[in-house]
Amino acid sequence: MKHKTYLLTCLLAFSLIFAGGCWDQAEIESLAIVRAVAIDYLPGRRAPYLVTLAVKRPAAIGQEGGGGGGGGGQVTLYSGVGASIELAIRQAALHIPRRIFLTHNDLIIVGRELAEHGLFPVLDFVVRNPDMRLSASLLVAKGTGQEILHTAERLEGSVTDEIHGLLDQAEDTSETQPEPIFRFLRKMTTPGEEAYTVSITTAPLPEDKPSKANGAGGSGEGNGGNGGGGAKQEKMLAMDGMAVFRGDRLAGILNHSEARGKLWLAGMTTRGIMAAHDPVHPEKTVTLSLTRSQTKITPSVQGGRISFRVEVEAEGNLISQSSQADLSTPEMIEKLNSAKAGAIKVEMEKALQKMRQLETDVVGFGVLLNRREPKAFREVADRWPETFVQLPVEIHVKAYIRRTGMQSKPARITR
Amino acid sequence: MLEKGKISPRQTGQLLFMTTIATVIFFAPSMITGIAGRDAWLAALLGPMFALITLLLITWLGRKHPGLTIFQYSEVILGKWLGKTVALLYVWGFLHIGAIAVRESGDFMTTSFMPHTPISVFNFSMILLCAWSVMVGLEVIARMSEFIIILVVSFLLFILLFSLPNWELSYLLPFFSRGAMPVLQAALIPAAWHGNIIVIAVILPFVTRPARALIAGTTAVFASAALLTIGVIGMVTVFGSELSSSFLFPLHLFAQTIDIGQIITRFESVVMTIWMAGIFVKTSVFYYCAALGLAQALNLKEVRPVVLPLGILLSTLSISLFQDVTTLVTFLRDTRPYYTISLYFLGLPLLLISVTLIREKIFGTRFGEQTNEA
Repeated sequence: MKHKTYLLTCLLAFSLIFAGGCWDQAEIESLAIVRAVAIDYLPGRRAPYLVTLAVKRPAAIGQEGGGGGGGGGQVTLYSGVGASIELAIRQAALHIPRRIFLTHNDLIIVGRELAEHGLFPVLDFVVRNPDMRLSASLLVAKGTGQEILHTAERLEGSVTDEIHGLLDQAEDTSETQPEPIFRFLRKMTTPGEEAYTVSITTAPLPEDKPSKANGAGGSGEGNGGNGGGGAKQEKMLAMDGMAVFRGDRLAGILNHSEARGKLWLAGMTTRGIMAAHDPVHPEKTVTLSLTRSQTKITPSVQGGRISFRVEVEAEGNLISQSSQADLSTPEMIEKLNSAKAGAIKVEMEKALQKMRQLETDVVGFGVLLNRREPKAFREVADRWPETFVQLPVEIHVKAYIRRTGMQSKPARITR
Repeated sequence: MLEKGKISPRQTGQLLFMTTIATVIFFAPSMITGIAGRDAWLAALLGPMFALITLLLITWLGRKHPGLTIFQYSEVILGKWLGKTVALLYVWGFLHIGAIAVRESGDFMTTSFMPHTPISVFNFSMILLCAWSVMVGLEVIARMSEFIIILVVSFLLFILLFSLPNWELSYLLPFFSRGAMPVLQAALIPAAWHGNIIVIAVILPFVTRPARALIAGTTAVFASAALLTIGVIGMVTVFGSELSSSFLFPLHLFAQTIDIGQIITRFESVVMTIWMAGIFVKTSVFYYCAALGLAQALNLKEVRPVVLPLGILLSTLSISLFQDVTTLVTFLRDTRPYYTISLYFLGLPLLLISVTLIREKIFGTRFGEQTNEA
């Protein structure tokens, strides 16, 4: 009994050596916690990959102030260039006084150039590297990824928090849909389906004229204004529709309404608002909200001819009108319903047209066909993108306006 | 008797369950999907059923030779030298499977969590721990696994449950997209893992009610098959079949996808816990079987003297059996099913059974009574 206790003590003491982490010891004080990774492609270079890491500042709070262009807040940026993503990170590591720790990274921003060149190296890096997490969100920058991370934060503590916020808000508009990287990968590797994700860009405030602040001097326009203090025209992050892929290459970007059309087709619209023509004064606009929707796609094969029928049912409310007409009668609501259905159908058709033009089936018509009619799909599986372009898709939309907000009809305004 | 402890039928079932699920759910899903595509879950359900054959054969043999382990009754059936050869073959088999299990855990740790640490650190510390549990005997291993099984099963269920929002069950359709043959072929892989149930040939004499062992073993096989099938369904519906087949440790990546409101997330370390705890029980059982077998084949009075030499052998094997992780995976996928099934899980038990029957029916030997004399 006694020597058992002795053995136990020895073993426990021995295990302490291992509790430190052996060769992989990683103390939190010596880690550079990466919050976002931006990867860009520099064409024509021998080392084409530019990787930018947004590293959380160890003493993030109370460090506001003078920093130059380098995203002044709670994160700081490091970049490196290399022939592969790993090599580029190695080069960035030359500047970082701590060990790069990628486990807490949940944003991967890919520059447009790289997306067009092919995402395979990024996906290989993400899956192979045990530190990279498959639940990270993938974003495609309209310019470079570095530029996105370089944008100054406005509301949150850091640019990475801002991006997270934007992604969370995406479901309120249903104009794009962020995809975690594993779902992107799944769509990319499944036959009869293509991947898509959020497109992000930087833009000045809409209709904001730069001349207002800088007044005199033509140099104040855009590029030169980086170092100068005072009120300069500030760029900010913006969600910019949906980046759709063909294989691992960016095929194109769907704009807001096309992106929502795609979501209608896939039955993934959540919330949002949309405009329709006023039934009484067609030149005016009524604004309608979306609350609930359902999409059903039925593939059918008749005599070797494949076609799809898409049925959408959408519910929503009337949230504003710009004419003073009384829209609160059942007849008017009926007209509103069909106006809304028409608007939805237009969005869907636009999306479909763009998808056909880009030859990318981001809705997954092929997958649906494979599920219902595997034989028919197997015949066209190899040339699905080209086949899909020519297939007829029937769209039927039913829309319902359920409520009219806090007022029924507008109160008459007297002169 | 070399082993004085006794284990209950329930503990037996738990031990058998642990020896199979511990590794199968980590490696097998990607191999199965690689062959069977989106029908992988069918293969995962079918494959384990094969283990029921092994279970039937072994319990039949055990009933014929009550109180004896496979090492002992092979000698009774085949005579001294041939019997000892079979016993030593099994000792090697247990040692081999144990070494592979240790190697799998080491490779997982060095790949996923601690890439700079030499694999020997994980292998040696695991074997040291297992050696200790082998020293203290089967009963302790069984009691320990009663605790560990709660850990492993509940964590696995947590992972599967929390990943449910990511499941797209329609990815399982259409069925039989590659035909039925790949499914059967892929079923061999989980079959090879579930054949590990062969350890019942060693622990059967120590079960308090041997008659219940068959039920316990069947339950273990079904439970393990169910868990594996759900796991495979989860992986195929989250990743799609093509992607899952490209992963080395699918469960680890599967746990990474869990993200419920950014609160319930980062389950990878849980995967490590399951893996290590499971491997510990599995290796202990196989190590124990090898040690007991060697002691019985050499007519030793105690197991202890062979534990450390076998441990050293196990450590060496766990490092030197495979040069790299691709060799390991290729072996597990392409070689091991045929080798273990044909030799250990079917071949030798069938040989023992047929010789038993021939000797009984033709030569009139009565088995099952030698034990009383011995």
